[in-house]
Amino acid sequence: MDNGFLATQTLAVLGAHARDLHVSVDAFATNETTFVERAAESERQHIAVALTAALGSVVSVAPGYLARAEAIRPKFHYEATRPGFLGLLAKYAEDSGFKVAISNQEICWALREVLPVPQLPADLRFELRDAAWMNTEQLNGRFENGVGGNRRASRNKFAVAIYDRGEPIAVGGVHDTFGLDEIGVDVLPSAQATGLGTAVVAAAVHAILDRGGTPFYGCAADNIRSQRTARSVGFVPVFAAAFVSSEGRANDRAV
Amino acid sequence: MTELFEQHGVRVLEGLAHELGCDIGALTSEASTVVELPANSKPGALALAACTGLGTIVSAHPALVDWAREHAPKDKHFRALQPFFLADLAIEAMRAGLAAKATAHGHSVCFALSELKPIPALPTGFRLELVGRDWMERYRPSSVFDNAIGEPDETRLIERLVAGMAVLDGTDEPVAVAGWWDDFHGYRELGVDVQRDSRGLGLGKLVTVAATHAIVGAGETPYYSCGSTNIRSHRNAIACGFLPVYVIGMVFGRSE
Repeated sequence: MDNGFLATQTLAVLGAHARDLHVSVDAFATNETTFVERAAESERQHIAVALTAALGSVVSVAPGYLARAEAIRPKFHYEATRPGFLGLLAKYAEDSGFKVAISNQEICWALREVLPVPQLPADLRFELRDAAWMNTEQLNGRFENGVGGNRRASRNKFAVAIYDRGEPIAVGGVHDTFGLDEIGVDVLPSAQATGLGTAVVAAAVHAILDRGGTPFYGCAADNIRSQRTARSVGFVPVFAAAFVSSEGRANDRAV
Repeated sequence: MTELFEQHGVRVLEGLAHELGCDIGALTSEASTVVELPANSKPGALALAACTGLGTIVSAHPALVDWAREHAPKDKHFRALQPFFLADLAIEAMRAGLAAKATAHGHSVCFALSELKPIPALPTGFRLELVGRDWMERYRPSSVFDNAIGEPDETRLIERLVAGMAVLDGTDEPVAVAGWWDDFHGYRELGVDVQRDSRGLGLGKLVTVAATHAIVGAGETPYYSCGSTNIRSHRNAIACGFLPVYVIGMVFGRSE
């Protein structure tokens, strides 16, 4: 299934994440787990960030955790993003007095092929919207993934929205993630299961490529619907990600 | 969505409902449903949580059902698969004395066939062969192909093995195998291995697609699953024409 386009996209996606963790992208092709100490410049300031690609994993840990993490190195590199290994790190952090959480696993995707944008029904239309629109739309709370929350406002770039009688019913919002163009998608419940998620993401992919960007898609490992959307738009999984955090997220709780 | 996926996807969901002990409608209810884990479900399992994207089922040991009903996330059904709920369920299982040690395992993504892909051409010097249980017996002790033919102590799986597709090299030794077995639910689960030195030649896809043809040709339903962080296997599934149907998380217990 691999091709030159996919290789370029995969390298761009892995490279961007490797840069943030301050490791060589080659670390994802070692068939091993590479451990590094978290860099002060890294955007992700968690206790541990674990990324697992097809041929190697990288675990970036906070200062003071490196020896501990290496001592409990998982047998297979792809176990680095699993709760078993991360749970041991979390336990160590808890024993050190932190209140911690393990994130849900995410699957991160790169574009394999550019597929045509599905045609919309006659009464619907695509509209291109800018970052200002996205940040205003945040106030309505309708498109949590598409336009993000307050903390994403400065990273928002543009969005493709599907309109029905003057109102947006689906949004494929594009925001910056380590220099990649990450797509977040939402379809209003009343319009779900009609193919609009695929349509709006496909349109966002075309808009990103027209601007010379690299499309990137991420979803929770348990979000089957989102995984199918990614696949139907031409993405393939490139790596899995999970982290141990001392602050937690909305979906997490101390373990 | 293809006709093939609708046909095979429904069979896979029927198998899942049977394993979880729920009505198939609960899998698409847009809600979280807690049911009692059937006694003949996965050995060692104290709870299973499965999400199809359109509904989530938590199937728990009878002694855990009330706790699960009270604590299963109510806002979004799929949150029942997130680490905190299953980790707490494991703790509750130990507290209830169901196991000395209970742990929540990583999720698996489970796939149904969407498209029957053509079997890729064999690289020069290799040949493809349908292999049976006796052949598998011979190669099992090496543990090179344990996903495909089972590890020596996996008696439950070994008893259910049906056949396999193997790529053999010029010395008639296997370098890639896709085996399949009866997964109790009327479908054929696939396991795939490629010998480390022979990776990167497309042999994983080749044996998987060849096995899929054999299974479909016999009128059976192929089924593929992999750990949610096993990116290589996930990509193999997609390349071989499979699409994800559900994700499942498990809490296992052991006596010591």
